[in-house]
Amino acid sequence: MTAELLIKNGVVYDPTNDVDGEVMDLCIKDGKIVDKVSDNAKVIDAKGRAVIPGKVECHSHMVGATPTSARILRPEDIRVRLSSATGVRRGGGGRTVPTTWEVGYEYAKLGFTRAYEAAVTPLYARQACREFDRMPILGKGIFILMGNNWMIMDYLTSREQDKITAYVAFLLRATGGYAVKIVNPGGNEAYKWNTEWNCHHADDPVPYFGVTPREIIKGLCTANEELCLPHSIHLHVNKIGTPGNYEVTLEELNITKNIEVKCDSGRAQNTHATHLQYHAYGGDSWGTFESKADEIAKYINHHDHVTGDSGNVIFGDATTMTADSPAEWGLYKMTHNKLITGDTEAEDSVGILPFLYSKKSPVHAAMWAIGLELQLLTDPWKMFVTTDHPNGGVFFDYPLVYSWLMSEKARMDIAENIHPWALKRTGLGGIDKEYTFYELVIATSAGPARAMGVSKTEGHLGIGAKANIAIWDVNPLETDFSRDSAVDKLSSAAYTIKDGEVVVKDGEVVCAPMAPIERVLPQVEHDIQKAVEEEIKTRFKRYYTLQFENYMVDPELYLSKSDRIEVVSGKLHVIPHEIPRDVET
Amino acid sequence: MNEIILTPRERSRISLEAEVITPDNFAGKSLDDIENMVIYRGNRSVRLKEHFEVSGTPCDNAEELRIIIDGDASRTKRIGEKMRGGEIVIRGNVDMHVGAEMKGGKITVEGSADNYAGREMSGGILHIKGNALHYAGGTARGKKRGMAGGTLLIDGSAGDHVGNFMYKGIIKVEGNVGQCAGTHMRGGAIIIGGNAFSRIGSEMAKGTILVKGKVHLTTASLGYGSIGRRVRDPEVDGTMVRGEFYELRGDMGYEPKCGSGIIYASVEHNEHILPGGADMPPKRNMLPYLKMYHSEIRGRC
Repeated sequence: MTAELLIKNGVVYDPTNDVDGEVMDLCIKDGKIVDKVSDNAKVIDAKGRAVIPGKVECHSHMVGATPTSARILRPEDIRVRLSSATGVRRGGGGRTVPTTWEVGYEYAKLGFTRAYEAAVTPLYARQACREFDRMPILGKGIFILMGNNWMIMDYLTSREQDKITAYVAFLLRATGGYAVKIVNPGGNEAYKWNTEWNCHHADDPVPYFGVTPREIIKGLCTANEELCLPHSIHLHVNKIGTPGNYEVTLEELNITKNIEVKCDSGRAQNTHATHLQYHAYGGDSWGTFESKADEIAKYINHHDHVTGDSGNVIFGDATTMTADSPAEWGLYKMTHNKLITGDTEAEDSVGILPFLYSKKSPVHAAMWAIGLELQLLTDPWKMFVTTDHPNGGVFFDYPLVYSWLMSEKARMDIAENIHPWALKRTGLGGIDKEYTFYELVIATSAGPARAMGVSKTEGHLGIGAKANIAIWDVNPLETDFSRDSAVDKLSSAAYTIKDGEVVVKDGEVVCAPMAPIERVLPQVEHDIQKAVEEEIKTRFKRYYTLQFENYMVDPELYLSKSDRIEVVSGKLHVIPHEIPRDVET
Repeated sequence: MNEIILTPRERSRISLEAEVITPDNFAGKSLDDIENMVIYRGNRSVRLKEHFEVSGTPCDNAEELRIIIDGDASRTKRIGEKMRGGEIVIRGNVDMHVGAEMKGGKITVEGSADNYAGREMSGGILHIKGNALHYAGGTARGKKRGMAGGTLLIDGSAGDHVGNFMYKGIIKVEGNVGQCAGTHMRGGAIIIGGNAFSRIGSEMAKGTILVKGKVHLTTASLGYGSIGRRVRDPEVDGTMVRGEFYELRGDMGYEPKCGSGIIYASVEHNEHILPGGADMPPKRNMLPYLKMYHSEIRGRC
């Protein structure tokens, strides 16, 4: 490891500190950005190259029980892309469901230094921890599914908000989680009673429990703020992928409007609504299907309590995987493709189905356009680029999305060669906005870092920030991205630097250190915690097939390389775990 | 026609992966270039000349080129993968994936072939003079598109899952086939000269399977209602087949398109599948059949 590094004459983009394409030097010492280094520092000549903070993936499905099941379901996926072992890399492959190590390498090649696994049920957190323990380069965290949890719905029925808070704290501590994820609140539980049931709007009660999605979202958001967690609730609202669902989306985004943000992690939102492209549809049937991305964009631009990510669709092969199993069941009835649908005891459900986005399909063409429309119309500080990997497309194809955002010509070239609904049923044709490189950096790096609550140390290049940097072999001051395709220029980083260490050079992984998992350890009052734990123990006997003692993820065994974030009276304290920096071979 | 002759040096115990052996790759290259092509032995890359002696006359046009593998290639996989034209003759047995994804040209295997012969092929002719093991003309695990064109001829017997997920083209097996022939078929034709073991045409949505011998065990969801129907000299893939056959429709259990697939079973050998006919072989009797087929097919190894 080089202790000191000097990046000379780079064209720096650092939106957090309002640096827009200034030529300057960056000094790195011991994994942090400092104001100067000694003459012995290793020099990277970045003249005429763009230097940006390492990108942050805020929503992706890459580890855990669901991607692992998908790997088993799709053995054909590994044939599409294979890579052989080098001195640094392990062999691997796969495209929509790549192997664990490949995810780390390939994200790093695209300039990412941090990624979050978006849906893990508490019961299967072990699998996610184990995989993350082996995933090189990326900093990471796990979102824990809570939107259909029986205990939470029980406490909601009896209106015990303090116990919900204590239970959320317990779950995060027990599983090594980073944030609260809510998928289709209540709807998955309804599906488990009858495959045709779902929660169709915010006030549609869940069978047996009688609570509504509104109560679930409100309860969990309140708990999240009371615990002062670094990230807000991560919300996948009801009615995914159905015509006319934008009203439900707006209604549910409005629920948390008045809940105060109580965290000092730098975030401004109390709700992060994910893959909004799937939730921005108008019309009342597939025949009258149309885009309502403008409505969603307008709402988010005018409200500070919400951020979102786009969930772009890319044509080609994808594997849909979500805890929203009613949606997967709908897809199954449409395509008759192979399906995994499952029930995770008292916690949530799951659905996996391979899917092909076709240019000829009117709906898919419109979905492609809606994703871009949404991203272009919304403030990049509040809307981040994702493909909901691998639901809308694979993360390997991010450069394609960047090119469509940065060039009207590039996206019109596609729009004119796919089904006419792409332009007829959406507003994409009327948008002439083109992302600048600065805005792209906001939407892929600075913005997500802020929303994820890591903006103090990540997503910017100020003094004291972690040295997570991507350098691109392109000078945005001289490049006209609307003419020259960003795909060629942004498909692989010239350098990716993770914690002061060069991990990617000229598009090749040169070093694969392990980065820690981040987990939060929120605290609640001792009495309530004790009371809740006693109640959980008794309910475990009724609800679960395993013993309470076996439920907790053992930090010694599964989370040996984890940064612990202690929340003490509203302040976050990161306790880093020193990890060996030897290269994985 | 110009010929390039590859003579195997000795039988490698570790399998070789030689997807470079196609006329398209060899065209326009000198013997020296061909000798230095990279193949894989296990996880190591080696030169072609380490395992094959190369001789013959190079040629610029793949269509004019015939590659002869003069000996046993029973540990060489993926010969002729993705080939578009020309000809390959293998004078011995061959390992897995021979002619996989081939689009044109002709491959003749004078011995037997291992699993996945002609996997996902979409054109050309693959002629195996011995037996073929499982998944001949089928698809690799997981994928939903099998053979999409071309002709696969097997003079001996074939193993399980012949032509699964087949879309187009024709497979002719002179001998017997194992279990699950034509599962998930979506088109094309399979003509079986001998017997078919069990579960023929399950989840079939379209296409034709013709069995000249005995169908040992049919899937329950094949259309028994139409079994009484006899057809004389049916036409399969444009050619007439002599004889009298029962016509079965299937697979009735496959939701979107029940009963669009056709299975012809010869009248002579298949009295047992008629309603009221002799019972199907009970489960415990399956094993000898299975053993018989597998020993027959594997006999070469």
